Amino acid sequence: MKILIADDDPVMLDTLRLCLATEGFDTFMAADGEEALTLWDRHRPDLLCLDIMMPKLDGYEVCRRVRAIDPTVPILFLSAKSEEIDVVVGFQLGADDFVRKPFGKHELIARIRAVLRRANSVAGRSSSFSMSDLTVWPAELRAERGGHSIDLSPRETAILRLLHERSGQVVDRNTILDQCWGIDYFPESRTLDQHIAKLRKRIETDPNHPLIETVRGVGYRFARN
Amino acid sequence: MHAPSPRKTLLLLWGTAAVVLIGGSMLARQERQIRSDRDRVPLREFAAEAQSRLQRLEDLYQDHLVQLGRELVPKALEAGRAADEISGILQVSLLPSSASGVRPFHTVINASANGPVPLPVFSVGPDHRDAAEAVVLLDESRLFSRYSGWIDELGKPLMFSVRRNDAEVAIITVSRPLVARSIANWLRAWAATSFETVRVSGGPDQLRAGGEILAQVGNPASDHPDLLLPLRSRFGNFELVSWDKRKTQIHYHFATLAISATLATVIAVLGVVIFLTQQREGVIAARRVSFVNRVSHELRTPLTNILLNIDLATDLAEDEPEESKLRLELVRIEARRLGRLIENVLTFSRTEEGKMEIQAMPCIPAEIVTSVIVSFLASFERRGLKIERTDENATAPCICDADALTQILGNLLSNVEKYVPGGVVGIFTRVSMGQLTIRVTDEGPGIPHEAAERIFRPFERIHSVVNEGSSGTGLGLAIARDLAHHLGGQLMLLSSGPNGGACFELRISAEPAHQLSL
Repeated sequence: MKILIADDDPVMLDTLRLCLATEGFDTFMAADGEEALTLWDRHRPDLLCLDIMMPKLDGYEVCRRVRAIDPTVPILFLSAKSEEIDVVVGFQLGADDFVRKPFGKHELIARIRAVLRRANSVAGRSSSFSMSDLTVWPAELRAERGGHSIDLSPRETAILRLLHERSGQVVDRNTILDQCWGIDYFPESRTLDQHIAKLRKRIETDPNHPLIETVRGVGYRFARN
Repeated sequence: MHAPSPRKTLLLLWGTAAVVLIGGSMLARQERQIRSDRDRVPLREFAAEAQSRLQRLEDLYQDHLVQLGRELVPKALEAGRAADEISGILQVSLLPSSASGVRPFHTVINASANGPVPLPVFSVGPDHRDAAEAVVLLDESRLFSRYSGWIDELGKPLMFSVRRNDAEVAIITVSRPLVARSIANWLRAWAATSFETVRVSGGPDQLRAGGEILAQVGNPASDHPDLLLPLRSRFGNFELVSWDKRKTQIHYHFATLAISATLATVIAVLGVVIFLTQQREGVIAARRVSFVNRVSHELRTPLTNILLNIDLATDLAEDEPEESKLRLELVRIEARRLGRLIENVLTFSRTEEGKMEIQAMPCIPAEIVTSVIVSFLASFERRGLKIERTDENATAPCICDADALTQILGNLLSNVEKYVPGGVVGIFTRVSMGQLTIRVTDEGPGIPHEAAERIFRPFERIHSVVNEGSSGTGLGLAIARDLAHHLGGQLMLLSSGPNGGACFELRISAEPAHQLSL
């Protein structure tokens, strides 16, 4: 899932990049409004995070121009401007949410997930698959068990989708890394294990009957039963 | 209570000034009318001619009455027919002498507006006492002693008598208003052409009949004429009236005018002063609000960076300890940025309140410069900025306010961090002849010539549009220059250009520390 971030503060830009990357989002960074429009046109990201006060073109103008072409792509304003009128103008220009600075990483991620969920729901793109008693909604980056919602990162969602598509089969480590991290990305072997461990903590309920089984020396498998 | 806007105050006071000026002018104005006599020869000639015409008209009328009296037949129809040809006749009567024993003859020709026309009699007999009609008693002997003439006595209608023979007198009762109306009509027609002779003198003159204007030259300024020439007539009031020439002279009472003009000027100037003061206060108030908003905005960005990087450092502490350390370093950088911002706000506040104090103490300039550079190193590295430092005799102890110097240099480097995308940042430090010079140069976009002085004013930035350009409070350079003045020196922009970068030079007093300690 691709997210475009535009902010004139380099520290903020770098920090936001890492925040989203650790959650499995692919990011594109722009230091001003013009660059933001260029990157949006080139990559057509799934979501835009825009600062308002930027050189060359402000965030409002970027939002207005993007909306003129794509009325559905989710847009979030991340701004230190906190007056009610600033928020109202943002929404009037077509923003989906307005996150006031200061904010923490978890609030930001939660807001992004919520906006993506709403956007997918409105677009009717929401479809799910089941893994035992766990229902996964890939477009909304979440799973559900017994009415309880579990947030997932794009990468976690991709891992679950791959294991589900090949349910009953062993999926080797390289295949998972290629398909979920990308061919150009070379994560350490340890990274996959760490992700699986974190994922298990969140979706497994019974250690004796895990959803994701480890096949030593090969990879992982989702046992259908 | 909400204060009126500067524009309203100005208009109100200017309006008051205008009222005072107009009122004063009206009070000071004094009008005097000067009358001058006119040439009235044509008017007097016209009056003589009119009088002559009136007399002839009356004579003619009198001739008609004599003829009617002589030819009157004591029959109502014939008498009425004969009398109708003469205007103004109300009644004709034939009165025989008392000795004849013949009954008198009366016939009404026209109804009178004043009620029944009284019957002329020589004596009041028993039949008159019983009758309802009014009678007017005439002197028989007098009427028989003359041939004809007017009976124009107080309390009696106007009558004309004609002795027909020794035994009978004809009495014709005449309506004065009807005859006057006929004369007025005749005069109006006659004056339509003949009054032109009066016009030569310019007027204003009028020919009037009982107040009614029959002819006029010019427009009289008042209802009271200066000259009245009556035209004698038995039947009514005819007159010629005339006004003198009038000229209005206007004078102004100098003292009143001067006082009102002075008062109006004072009020108008007061209005301008209040307008400018209110406008300046409005601008300052708006700037303060803008300043608070900017400070609030500026606080939020590093605060967000701190929060996000603490979250990241926590999340990555276990798996990626090196990245976690980098994040904590960023927290430190952002905390310093916050500190500089807060220090600037406090310094500005102290300057505004006049509480700025310089605390000079022995220090080593090179060390201060080093400490400031160190605080920017990580940030500069991220932005691709390389520092090239040159020191000349900068390690000698001298007397200076280290905090103020740190703040000035911090603000200069903060601007470099904010506006310069990369390149070399030169920092030159020299202590010489009791003066410390620090020069900061960069390879950024520079500062436009027209903004060279403006950037040192509080709240001013090259781009003052709020949504455009980099964020900032617009205080950094203003505070830096103010502090430089307090340190007995100055901060200048030495060069600037579209591509030439900017060069700021700070010169402050820095006496050697050992000299002062002696």
